[in-house]
Amino acid sequence: MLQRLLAAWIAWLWSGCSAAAGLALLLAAWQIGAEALGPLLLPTPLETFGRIAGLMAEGALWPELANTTRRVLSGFSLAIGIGVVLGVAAGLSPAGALLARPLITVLLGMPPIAWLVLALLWLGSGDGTTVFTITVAALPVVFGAALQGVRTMDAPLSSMARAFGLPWHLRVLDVGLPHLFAWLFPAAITALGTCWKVAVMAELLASSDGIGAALADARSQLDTTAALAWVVCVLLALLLIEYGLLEPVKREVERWREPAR
Amino acid sequence: MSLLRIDGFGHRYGMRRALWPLDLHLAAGESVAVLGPSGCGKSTLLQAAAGLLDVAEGRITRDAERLGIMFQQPCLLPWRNALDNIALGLKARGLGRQERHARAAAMAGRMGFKPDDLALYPASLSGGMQSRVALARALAIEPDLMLLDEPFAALDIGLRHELEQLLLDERARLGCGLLMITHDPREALRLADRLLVLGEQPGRCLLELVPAHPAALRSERDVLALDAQLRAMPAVRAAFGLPALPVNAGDEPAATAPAIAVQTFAAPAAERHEC
Repeated sequence: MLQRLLAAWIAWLWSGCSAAAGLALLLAAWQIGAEALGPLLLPTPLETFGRIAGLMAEGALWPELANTTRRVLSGFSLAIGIGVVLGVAAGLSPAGALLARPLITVLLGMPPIAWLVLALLWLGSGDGTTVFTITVAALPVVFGAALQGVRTMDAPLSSMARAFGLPWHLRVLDVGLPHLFAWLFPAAITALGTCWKVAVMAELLASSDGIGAALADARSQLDTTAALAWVVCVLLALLLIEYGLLEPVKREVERWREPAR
Repeated sequence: MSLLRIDGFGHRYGMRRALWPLDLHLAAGESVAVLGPSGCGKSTLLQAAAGLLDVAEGRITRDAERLGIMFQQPCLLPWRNALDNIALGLKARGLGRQERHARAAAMAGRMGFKPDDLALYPASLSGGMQSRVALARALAIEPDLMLLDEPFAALDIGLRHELEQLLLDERARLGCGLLMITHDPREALRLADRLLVLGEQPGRCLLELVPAHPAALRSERDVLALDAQLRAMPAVRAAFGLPALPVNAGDEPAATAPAIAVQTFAAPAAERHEC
């Protein structure tokens, strides 16, 4: 399994050429914009990456990135854990699903900044506030996907499994979980993106460390280059986790979806 | 000794009656087809026979230890490859991975699979191949009772013929009983020793047809002649809503046509109806 995952990961890296071309176009547009607007409004990509290298050299980058990543991953894991348990529980009964539907709409519509204010009032400033905000922002996506996954279980497949006398634990393992997983994985990727966005926002307003706090510093010093450097760091971290880790895993475990070539 | 005894089983969905009570006994190794138009309650009968339906009216007892089943759709697990799908029933019986794969591969070989096909997922298989996997899955457990819910209805006549032949061969090898429901008289005549014709809504048993020879001894020509004979029967035509045949002097059934014994059942005077 590990060997197969590794092979899939390498194949995925090879297939990344088109993505690289897209990024190169974006960099070119950035360069043109920077030349037109001047360094105060929009520094060039080279300046920005130079600043990232500088931050790395002075040792400022890794601690801040580590802080933010830690909060993102804690909030993400909590959202997945709580969302899956509650979503599956709600999905198992039609009444639960009916009750949960408006709740998801409300929670999805609730602006994360409102949660942040509430969290500041409840928990004060600190890790708890940021992690809480990340968790509640990502929770409804995961919860909704788990609920839908359970609600859309394929009845004919379940009948087939029962007719063949599959014991309950195999029915869960071979029939239920793969179906649920197919719903959860896209939701998890969306939730992870949300987590990063909310993490930076929450840190900017409620934390003294992490990339969000560093962005707040850059803003107060009117240092556009530093601000852009931090933004690029966030994006790179997101790209790395999503395309370097989640996508190849998803492709490998969902190989059954696409017809073989 | 009956493999399957259906005594006075009838069914309602809510207030709506789907099937009048009927009796059906299947002896070990016997093959019975329930023939009828869409909506006559025959799927309900099969679901109940498979134990997938709560039986509220009448009694169903099954003396079969190993039950193989095929549905209208192949019903394969999309996230398992062909071999694992074929081995599913063996897995349910608690066989280890190696043994069930060996047995599944052996059955797949008899079904005409090449070893490379077995690693494919259902999404990569054609409709005919998917049906073949479903057939192999049902037969891999060496069932003593097979239940078929018109599994070949979506296939072309060539594929259908091939899969029917595979099923006939395996049935001869395993000696299993078979209960199939279908709306295709030819398929019923090819596979079944005895036919029950269901009709009307709610469904009831209209007649029982017993061709002179059991299914295994009928030639392809016998099946076609019996099919023509069956389609000309007024009771069968009425059951399927076909218009009556115009009467011509030359339309008498050919003297060479194989014989069918027919037993007709009266319309239910009361709720209870037996056949």
